[in-house]
Amino acid sequence: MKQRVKNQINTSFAATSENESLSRVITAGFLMAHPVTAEELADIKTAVSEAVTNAVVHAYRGREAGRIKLDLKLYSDARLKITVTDYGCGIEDVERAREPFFTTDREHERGGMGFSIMETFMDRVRVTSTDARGTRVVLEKRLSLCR
Amino acid sequence: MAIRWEETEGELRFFITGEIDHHNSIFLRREMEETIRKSRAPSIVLDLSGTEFCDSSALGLILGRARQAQALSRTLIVQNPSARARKILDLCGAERFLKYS
Repeated sequence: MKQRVKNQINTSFAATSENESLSRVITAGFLMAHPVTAEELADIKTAVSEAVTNAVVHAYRGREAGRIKLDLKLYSDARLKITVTDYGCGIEDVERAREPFFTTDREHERGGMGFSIMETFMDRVRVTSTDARGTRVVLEKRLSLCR
Repeated sequence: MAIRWEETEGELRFFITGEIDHHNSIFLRREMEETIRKSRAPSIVLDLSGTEFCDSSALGLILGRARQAQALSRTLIVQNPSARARKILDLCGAERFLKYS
């Protein structure tokens, strides 16, 4: 049975590091009207921060920063679906990218744990990427307090 | 996000409050790198009791400073991490690389 969408928001912003905190505020703002534990909220914000930061650091490397789309949807079955999309270079090897401690970044002291954190804090993480077209990361979580 | 530091004999202590994300890490790295370079203190302490939010960027920042400390033959420990900072650092397996207290 197809679940009804209770609420949704579609945003986009420049892939610049200033907007990493913006993405967390957008997420927190969206969830404000819905029952969520403080811990859950912090975990979800962290997962979003990781996905958006990946796009900021990698998607448009070596060229002018493009856009990141951040879409949030809450379904009637309490499932939260967050989609982070960029239109940048794409991930060459998604499986490799998702390995703990793996990073292709040379200069920014990246820990390589972004996907591991997303996977720990969300119920499901799906990544699709196309060379030179972009990357889409879909994060899903069933909110514990929503009826 | 705010950073301040105190230097007493033998110890350089950083206090980082607020949020540590990739954006803030850029500024924090610059400040900490330079301060560590100018200091003679053999012991460097990162006090994260006031860190309200961090993501895995904090790991990169801290490991970078740990590498810098090691190259200068100094020690670096993370002290009093907030519950949030502790959770993220533990998830990143930081205890393999860092000393906590």
